[in-house]
Amino acid sequence: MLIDIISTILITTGSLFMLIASIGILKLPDFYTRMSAITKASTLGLGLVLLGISLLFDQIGVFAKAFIIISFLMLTNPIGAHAIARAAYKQKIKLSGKTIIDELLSLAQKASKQETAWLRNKTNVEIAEELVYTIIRLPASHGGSYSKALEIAHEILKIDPATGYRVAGVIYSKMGRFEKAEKHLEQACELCKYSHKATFALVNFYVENNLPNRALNVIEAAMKIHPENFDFPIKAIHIAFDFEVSNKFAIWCCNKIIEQSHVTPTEYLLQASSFKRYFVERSMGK
Amino acid sequence: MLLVIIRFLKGPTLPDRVTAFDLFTTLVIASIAIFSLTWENVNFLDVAVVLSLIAFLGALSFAYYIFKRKD
Repeated sequence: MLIDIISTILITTGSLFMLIASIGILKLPDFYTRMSAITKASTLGLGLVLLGISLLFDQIGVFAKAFIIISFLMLTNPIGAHAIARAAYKQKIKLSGKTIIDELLSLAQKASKQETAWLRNKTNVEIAEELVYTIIRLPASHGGSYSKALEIAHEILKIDPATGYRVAGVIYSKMGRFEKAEKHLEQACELCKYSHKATFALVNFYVENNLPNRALNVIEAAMKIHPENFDFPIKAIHIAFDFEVSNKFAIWCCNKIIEQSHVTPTEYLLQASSFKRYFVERSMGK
Repeated sequence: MLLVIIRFLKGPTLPDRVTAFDLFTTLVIASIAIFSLTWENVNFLDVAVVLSLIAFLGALSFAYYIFKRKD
């Protein structure tokens, strides 16, 4: 008796959800909102209906079949919806006029704006650098291409070699060409004597490729030239913490920050002292 | 079902029709399940299983077709 009531409620709510999905597909303003409405509502609705029916039959076989259908549905419906929506976006199906955010379009517009600024003023390296980073992020269908980014990087190279090598290195690392990226980034570091940006580009590149020891070596070299910069030791501490390597160097970095307590920002000092305790405990444990 | 058929006929674009068709198959699966309940025949649920698989394949192949289609 109780099972009857429960399954009736389940089937009714399920049918109601499917009705809502049907109304949604008729009334909503554009393709993408319809897509989202029907995928979620119909998945839930069908799931509820099947659950209610399997409860009413009260047989193992029916349960198994309903379970199979529900799990297939949960797997396949989102995949199909995603595939269709992606294809539709690529075909430039119109969004409704009320849509506020279209990230891909705004990124493409940003790229074209930066490009015109760059073409007007071919000596401004900063604009060119921003343009390169925007182009890397764009997908190929909206004018993003590595070769175009590389061309701009080569133009930067003529004006400002250090920045040019750094930008080229970042592009190569995004392309997955490890050796070229490493060479370019190292050259950038040497050319501008381990400036803040170049060093961080190289360090982040090593961290992305799971080479914490090399990253730490770079930071050590940079710290020899810029002993007054506190971003380097903090970065080294974070790397050592994330990858659990090189206790000694990390403790040395912490000490270095704490020694110069009269000039360090308080935030760094706090971080260094708490990390130092962690590192010391870890070295004792080993 | 009628609402979905109206959308299917109205269009206005191919992806709209594909999604309408997708929802239509989902509705058909649900009705098959309810038919199996009213006629108290468990075997109809097998049809629902097959139909859910076919609906997925159809949606994916339509998506592939739209993706590759030239304007």
